[in-house]
Amino acid sequence: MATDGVEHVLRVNARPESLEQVHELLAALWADDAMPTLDRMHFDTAVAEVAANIVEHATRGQDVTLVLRVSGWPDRVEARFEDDGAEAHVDLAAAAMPGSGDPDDLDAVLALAEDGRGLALARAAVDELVYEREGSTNRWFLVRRRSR
Amino acid sequence: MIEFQTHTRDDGVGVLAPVGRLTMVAAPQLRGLVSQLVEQGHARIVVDLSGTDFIDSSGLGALIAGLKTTRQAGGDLRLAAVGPQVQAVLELTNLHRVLRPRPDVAGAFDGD
Repeated sequence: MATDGVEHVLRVNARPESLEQVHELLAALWADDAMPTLDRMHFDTAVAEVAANIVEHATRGQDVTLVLRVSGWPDRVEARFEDDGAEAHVDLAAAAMPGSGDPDDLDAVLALAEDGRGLALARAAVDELVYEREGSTNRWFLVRRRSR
Repeated sequence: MIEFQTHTRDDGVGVLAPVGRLTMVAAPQLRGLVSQLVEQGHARIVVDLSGTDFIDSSGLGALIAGLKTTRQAGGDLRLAAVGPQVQAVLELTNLHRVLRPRPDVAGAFDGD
């Protein structure tokens, strides 16, 4: 059981292709962790959204190094991201899920947002999601507690 | 990694199966394939998600875009055979109300 805080670490250039390595890191975490499937899926979903957000918004054409540490603990799993990219101007408390509308109303369907769900989805999928900017470093911290 | 398998059925329905992870890398491809099918006259499309292990918000955005494209052309885009992670993401985003997943590809347009 990887419930003793053993860390799995990934250090990559933040690019769309790096997202595959994020999934591989998560698979390495789960290889020796008995987290229930639903908890895993929620954690994976949130971690992937934050990684995609960094790739999309922090890079701005620059090389950005992304470091991701994931670890399993008796009561939770954690992910810590660090990157040296542009500051993320986010208000996680205010990150609202775009509406879903009436599926039988064509105008409502055509008005559906095609983006803007990432951080709201990440927030909904974990118990804690924190973003901090310190000097020139972005830090994201995610926690999913184990279901009992 | 992702791979897309597409085919059209005798009843004119286009079937699109993303195999792998449907993320920001694959989303533009999915949008393109839906547009292509619609341009070829297949405005009714089933997205077979039985081989889709993972979806993120970019993948969802591509499905929404596909829904709009097909509906504007008088058709519809339906999801079939969604796995547990896709189902969880649809519920967390409330999009299961709009992209109402069907149990299987064969019956996705039954009753229409």
